[in-house]
Amino acid sequence: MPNTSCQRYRAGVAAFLLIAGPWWAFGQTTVVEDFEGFNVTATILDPTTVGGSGWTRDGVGVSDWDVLENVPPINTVDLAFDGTPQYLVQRRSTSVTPKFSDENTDFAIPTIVEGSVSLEMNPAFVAGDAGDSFRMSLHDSGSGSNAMTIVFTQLDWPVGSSGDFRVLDQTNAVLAEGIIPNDPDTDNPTARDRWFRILVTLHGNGTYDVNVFDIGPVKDSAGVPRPYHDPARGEVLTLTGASLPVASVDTFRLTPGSTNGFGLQPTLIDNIIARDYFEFIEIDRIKPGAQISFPTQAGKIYQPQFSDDGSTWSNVGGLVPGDGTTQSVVASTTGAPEGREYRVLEF
Amino acid sequence: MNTLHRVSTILCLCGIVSANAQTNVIEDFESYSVANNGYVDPTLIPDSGWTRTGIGVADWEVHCCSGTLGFPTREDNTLDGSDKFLVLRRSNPGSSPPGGGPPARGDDITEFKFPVLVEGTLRFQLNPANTSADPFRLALYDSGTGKFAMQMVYTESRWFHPDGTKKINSADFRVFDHPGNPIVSEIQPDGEPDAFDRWYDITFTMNRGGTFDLEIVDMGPTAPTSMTSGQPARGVLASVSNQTAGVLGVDTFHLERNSGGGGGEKPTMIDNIEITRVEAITVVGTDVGTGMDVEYPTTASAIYQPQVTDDLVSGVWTALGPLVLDDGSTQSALSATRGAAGRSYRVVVF
Repeated sequence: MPNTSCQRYRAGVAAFLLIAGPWWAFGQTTVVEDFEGFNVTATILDPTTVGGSGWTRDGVGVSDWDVLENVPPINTVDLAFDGTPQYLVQRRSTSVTPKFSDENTDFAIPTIVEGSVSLEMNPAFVAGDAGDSFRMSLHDSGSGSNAMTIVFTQLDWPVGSSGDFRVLDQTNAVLAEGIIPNDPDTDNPTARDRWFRILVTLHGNGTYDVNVFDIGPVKDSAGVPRPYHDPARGEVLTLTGASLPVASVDTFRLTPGSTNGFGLQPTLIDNIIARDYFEFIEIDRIKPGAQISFPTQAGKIYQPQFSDDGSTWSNVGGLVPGDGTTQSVVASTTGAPEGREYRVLEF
Repeated sequence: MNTLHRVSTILCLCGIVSANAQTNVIEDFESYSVANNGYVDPTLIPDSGWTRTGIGVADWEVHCCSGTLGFPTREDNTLDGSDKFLVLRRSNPGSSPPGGGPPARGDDITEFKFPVLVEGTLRFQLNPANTSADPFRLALYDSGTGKFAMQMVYTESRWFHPDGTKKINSADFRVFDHPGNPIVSEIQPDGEPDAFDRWYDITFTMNRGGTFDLEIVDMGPTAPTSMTSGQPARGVLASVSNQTAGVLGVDTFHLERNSGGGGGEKPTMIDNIEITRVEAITVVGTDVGTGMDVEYPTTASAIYQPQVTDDLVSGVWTALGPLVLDDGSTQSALSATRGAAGRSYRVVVF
């Protein structure tokens, strides 16, 4: 059940989603769907059957996505990244029919012109059949168009076990591809058994960004990390300044065509956060840093450094390509002794 | 090798001589103090340049001594006949590698740091193990951006070719560029005996501007024994040029997790890591002034975007660095102020 809030206050009841409507017009609404508000009495629950949940679907038959309470004796799926007991789970498998999700499953979010949508997602490993284990869009119900589609594919794109994200435009042309290696060996630690955070930012000027972060490995229901337990690997997909084909979005949409391998460890979704504004945090303090300015030449590459003893030098930031102008970098002086020295190397 | 300046220190910076002079880093493992048939975790040696993330027994250790092994059937001699080398101490379950045991595959990230290579070469010798796992997984990283320029995997068996065929005992190298696209995927004919029990010379060349070249050369069978055909050196197996690195330089030799050592006999060996690079000069005319250090609190796994504007009225804010995915620590966003007055800052949280 979503929590809806105005500005930084988060309410905890589903009914607030309805009565908060007038606030949406002021453009200061946050909707948080962490699935913890659902009363899952029979292990799984179709959220579209719960009034006021914000969830709907446009197909018939068994739902594609259900809320699951991960408590014993359920032990074939992973824990939520935040350790909470409930999340959304895809109920499709290559071992049952239909093998693929066959309907749109929608979640109502505020009408966003400027703001963001983020979620946590653990994709299934589709080992037996080719397929996408995750397909989502941000949708504009007014025009009936998707703003973009984000896909995770484990197999057969463009090679077996690529384990990667793509962002598609409204014509399904690829706008961006993730940088998880297209490693065809299924034994290798690619993207399986990991949690990702997907962030879509709408800038209010007709453009949007998509960023996908690997936030760490999954743990099984006993709290034990699965085999590919690298710590968080950071950003794995970046799309910046893409043209938004709709005026706004108001629907988080799980689109048809997703599946999982054999029904074990299906795709999980948790903590959907939608805001129709940008939320800011308070800055602790602003203090002086050391600004290092240096002339550059086009074609040269520069590395600013500091030293506290005049002999051992450490890098300040990364390499800087020269462009013929004077460039500047800033080093934090927190904990720096008196007399810290700076230099810039030119390659 | 004989054109390089070999010194006794483990990590040798040969110093700045003049602009465009060559600086060489040589890690040949000979300066480690290792008893015969002994092992030393190089990450425990101060200033060695080696580090690892992980717990328990190290994945990679310096071993001695080539040619006088207590387990002559387990390990090979170095190609150059020197005593010491780096060896992967992992094995399949149930086997008994010297001092090994579970985990069956590497569970550390083991790294060797070197001065940034913007233009020049990194070269090393490799003798991969015979295993159904991947006995060798390497990435070359830029620690400044946290991005890799190239990843390389050697796989003895059971990998899937892009054409969909499953390769059995193909014993092959695969190389991926920065976006993760395969740029080398099959360089040996399938079948056994094939590529294991052989020494390879691998040369990575970083080109100015963010591209790289790579060459993989088969230097010949291992000694004293080789389970392969014993063919002499087969020469250049793969050579690619001007591949996308995605970074301007690399400074980290990054051995990935999940490498296996087969039955524990004849594990993967690495020797003679050499970096030859164009030396830098110190820029004249550097000025140190006052910038801004914007500190803000974070919570675990939230995403942050510091922003800056020079004109609050305009409402136009510019990202101050990349998005930050953080873990609850206090973060800093650093901002140059040269030529700007009345600069304002804010931090968006997603």
